[in-house]
Amino acid sequence: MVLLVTSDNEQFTTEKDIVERSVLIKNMLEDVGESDQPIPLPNVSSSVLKKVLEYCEHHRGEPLPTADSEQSQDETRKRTTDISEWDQKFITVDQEMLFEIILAANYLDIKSLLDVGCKTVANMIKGKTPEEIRKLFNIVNDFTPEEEAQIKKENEWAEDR
Amino acid sequence: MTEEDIVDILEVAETQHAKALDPDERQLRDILALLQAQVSRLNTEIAPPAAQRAAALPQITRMAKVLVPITLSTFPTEILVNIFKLCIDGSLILDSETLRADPLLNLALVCKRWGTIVKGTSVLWNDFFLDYKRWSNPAPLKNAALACIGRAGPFSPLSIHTGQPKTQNGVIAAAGANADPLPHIIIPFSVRLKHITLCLPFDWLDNFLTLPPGSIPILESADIQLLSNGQDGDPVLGGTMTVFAGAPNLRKLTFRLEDHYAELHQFGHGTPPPLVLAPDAQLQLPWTQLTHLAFIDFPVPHRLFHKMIRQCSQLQSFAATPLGPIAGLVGKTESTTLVSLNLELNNPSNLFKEYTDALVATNLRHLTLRGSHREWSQSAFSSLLSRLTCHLTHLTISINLQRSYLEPLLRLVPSVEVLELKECYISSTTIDKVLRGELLPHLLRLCCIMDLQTLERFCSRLIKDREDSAGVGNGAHSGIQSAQIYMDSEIKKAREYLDGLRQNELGIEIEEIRHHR
Repeated sequence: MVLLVTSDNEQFTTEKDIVERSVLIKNMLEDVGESDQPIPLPNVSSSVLKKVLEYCEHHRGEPLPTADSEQSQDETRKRTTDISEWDQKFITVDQEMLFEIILAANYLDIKSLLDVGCKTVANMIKGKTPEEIRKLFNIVNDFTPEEEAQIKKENEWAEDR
Repeated sequence: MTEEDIVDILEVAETQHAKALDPDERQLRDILALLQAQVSRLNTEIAPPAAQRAAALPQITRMAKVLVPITLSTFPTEILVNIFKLCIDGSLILDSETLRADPLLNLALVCKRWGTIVKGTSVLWNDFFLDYKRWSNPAPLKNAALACIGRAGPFSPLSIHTGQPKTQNGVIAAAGANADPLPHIIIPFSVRLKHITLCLPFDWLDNFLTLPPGSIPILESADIQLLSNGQDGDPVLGGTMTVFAGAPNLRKLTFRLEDHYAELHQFGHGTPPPLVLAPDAQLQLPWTQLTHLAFIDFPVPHRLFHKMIRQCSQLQSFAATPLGPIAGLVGKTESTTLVSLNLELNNPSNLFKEYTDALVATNLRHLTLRGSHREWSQSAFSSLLSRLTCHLTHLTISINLQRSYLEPLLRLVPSVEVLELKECYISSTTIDKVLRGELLPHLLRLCCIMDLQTLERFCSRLIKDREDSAGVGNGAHSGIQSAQIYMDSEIKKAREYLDGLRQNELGIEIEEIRHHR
């Protein structure tokens, strides 16, 4: 069993093969060896770690992505909507939790969870105008009209050169 | 006694110990007791501030969230790039009707930070798909491709893909010679090509396929779909043609025939598929470096099939759909590297047997057998399966097989961990045997067609098995972990039934049959 301590000082005891889906924790356990010492996770809160562990438990035993599969052409060309039914239900959370899960997956180095989170955000963005994207994610438009026009011009390629 | 005194005494003791002399044991015991008392006192002293710290941490977390809320704009650049890449489905689609890189432009216009990331990230621009909708005016597409290559920077490896041009009965409509992207967009940048997917007339492709040695040095994968331009006859990879001699790093190679031919052939319009590979074809490929080789939708001659497997000394995956006619006998073909084999059984059963009887693949793990909707008997491929019993872990059968044939076949492959049955129904009796471990005792994932009644029975049994194995708690094999069930009716009822079970971890997903096909 492995003891994890979150940023808000909550302790979680979990099985090694579940938590080892995190490459960060897997490496820490390999470096430290057998130990009862808790592993501090200062960048992950308890509510987020609970969700992360739920994901890891569901996917326990599945092969971890390898360097080869990460680079495969099929993988890069996979459609973003391609999220399994369970993962879709799992990631149906409010925006703040979604972002926290993504940041935690990035920090803990859980590639498959990071992919699910990023795909979900990508699906939210696809087909939307810049204004709709700003509104959806509460992003401030810091462009001047001239800068906006310049970017549009730079991305036009209709002219026959 | 000061801390310095203690350190001095410990050093003396350690020195004596190192010299194998007996240290003053009493003195050491005193020091130990003293240190233990000090630790105990310190623990008592730090207990109240430690409790205060523990109480403050959740408050800090909550307040930090209020003061600096987590938003997409604060995400690290590498995560935003990952999201942006997914927004364009891996490859940026360029077409000659859209006059801008719309998906990326929309992202770039959100805010200054996003704009800078989009403009300055080569991986968003180095992988693009040329979608020809207006072949009469290919200039904008060429400009778009060159703009992308420019933004990708001078050293970034390129992945270029082309879509199928407009065709009418297989003839490319209004395609002038200047529509050919190879001389303007692809061949000039061939030294930077890493992945390529081309769907072009064969006579255009000819020059690219036979580029001289060293001209495509980093190309790792190529997926080539052969089209007919309607003027120069059918595409042919014939004679003693040497293909991809210029690609010393090519590992994955797929040749496909135009969909048009495959469809005509499949739906029995009496149009035979063109003879892309003649029975005596002496095609030369960079055999020793290829790990994945596939020929899709045109027949692979019997002799060439065996020659390829023999000559590719690193071949891990081979697909031939369909197999071609038999021409004479071949000797035994042995491969110790082949892990995945994908075959289509549109020929009569006895021909398939002749194809595969000479094949010995000692390391094969994944086998996919596909066929037309005609019914097949198990004798056609039982010979092959019976020789693979030791290692086969993934078996996909996409053939309309009679229920009574299925069970004897499954008995031939007890090592299978993942079973996909895409055209045939599995009986509830067979399911029961699988769940009892009488059939496929190592099975972890099952993908098959079921009706609602069989699904309900399957789920009840699965739940019971898992409860039993949790009760035993011996960590033994716990049977099927997940399943994909294809259904043609009562899908809504099936999903409601699964939701009603409240078994979040059951791992069963329902898919409509028309989707999986």
